[in-house]
Amino acid sequence: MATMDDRLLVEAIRAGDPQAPRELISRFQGVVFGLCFRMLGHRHDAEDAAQETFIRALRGILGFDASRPIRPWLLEIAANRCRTALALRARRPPAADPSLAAERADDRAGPRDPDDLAGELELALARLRPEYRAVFALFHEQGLSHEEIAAALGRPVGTIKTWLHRARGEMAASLAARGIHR
Amino acid sequence: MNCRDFDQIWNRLLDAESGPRRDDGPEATATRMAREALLMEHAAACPPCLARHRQFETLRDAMRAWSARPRPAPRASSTVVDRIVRAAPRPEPASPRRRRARPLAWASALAATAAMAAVVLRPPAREEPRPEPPRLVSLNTAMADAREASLRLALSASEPAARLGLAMLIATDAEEAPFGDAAPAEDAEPDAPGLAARVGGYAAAGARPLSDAARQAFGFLRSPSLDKNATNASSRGI
Repeated sequence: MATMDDRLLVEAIRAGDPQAPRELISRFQGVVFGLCFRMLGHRHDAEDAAQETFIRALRGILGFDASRPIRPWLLEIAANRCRTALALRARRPPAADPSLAAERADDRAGPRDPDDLAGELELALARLRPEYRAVFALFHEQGLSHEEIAAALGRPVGTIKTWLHRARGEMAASLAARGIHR
Repeated sequence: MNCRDFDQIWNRLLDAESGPRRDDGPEATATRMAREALLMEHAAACPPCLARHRQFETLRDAMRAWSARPRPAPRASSTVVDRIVRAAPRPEPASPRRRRARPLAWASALAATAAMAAVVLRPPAREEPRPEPPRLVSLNTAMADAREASLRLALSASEPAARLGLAMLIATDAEEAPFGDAAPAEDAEPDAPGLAARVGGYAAAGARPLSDAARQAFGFLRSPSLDKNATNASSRGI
């Protein structure tokens, strides 16, 4: 099972192999969770969205075109789940869910370790628009190509390149505004 | 090099600054150093680009530190996997649905209302992957879609009933006619054909068989195409 390629894995799920769905989850849960975490900025919500993604994918696997790569398809479902979660969150009163405030990145300006560059980048990333954040994370964290990100987010490749460029520009400006220098 | 080239070269350099893409081989390093020399040359003569150059250098250092961190991962739990597998039933080939008879007019009206509600109240976010980007649906577009869906449902379920209903709606717009003058005489025990004839008589007389609220609710059924059909139908005596 470990060496099975994605296409065979899809066929195994369709054929009813009981281990195949577990293999699918094991193989892609990292990238799916990574996208959800970056889009939602909240671990618990991201885990929920990732679970919903796999449930929907397994339910809809018969309708999936097996000639396509499965990773962008899974990420497309995940991005849709995250958009739905963000829309629901936007309708919620801000103080209704204290767990959100507890797990959200600390975005208060204040004394931080200036040498914690990774932490500063994390903070700058958290301040980006969800689309920019997702593109940056999929490209730099998950190693997806522009084309794969475009397929996952349902946007043209040119848009993805523009968003990535803008995301980096905003992050560079954000670091400078916080007094972070080499 | 101009400022635009400067930005593009920085963009290419930063593209390579992620864990999976980072290439520290001798060839890649030489290319990177050559590009950086070009950038420095331009930045030295262009104060705005010099400031930008420093910002991008800081960003690159931060990206390198960030890439070295462990990636966020879900909590490993076999119960979560079990839950997912249990929640997603084993795939089965889709079986064709049986056609169900839809003889009742009220059922078609209910379906039409549901179709309209589904279009008007559909959630803003996409639920399933679709090849096209999401588009904004205006209220007018939604109402037009609902009307079209309702017409199709009504026509397929009970076309004669739809025509009769339309004729009655048209009658409400006709010149006011004294209700009593045209109303047929009441029977003590009306049979079904007699009732149908009486309803037709009311409509022909320009009576108002529907309440204002009902006309407002179902007035959208009046489309030019159905009006035309109704005119043809009435000329054929339907």
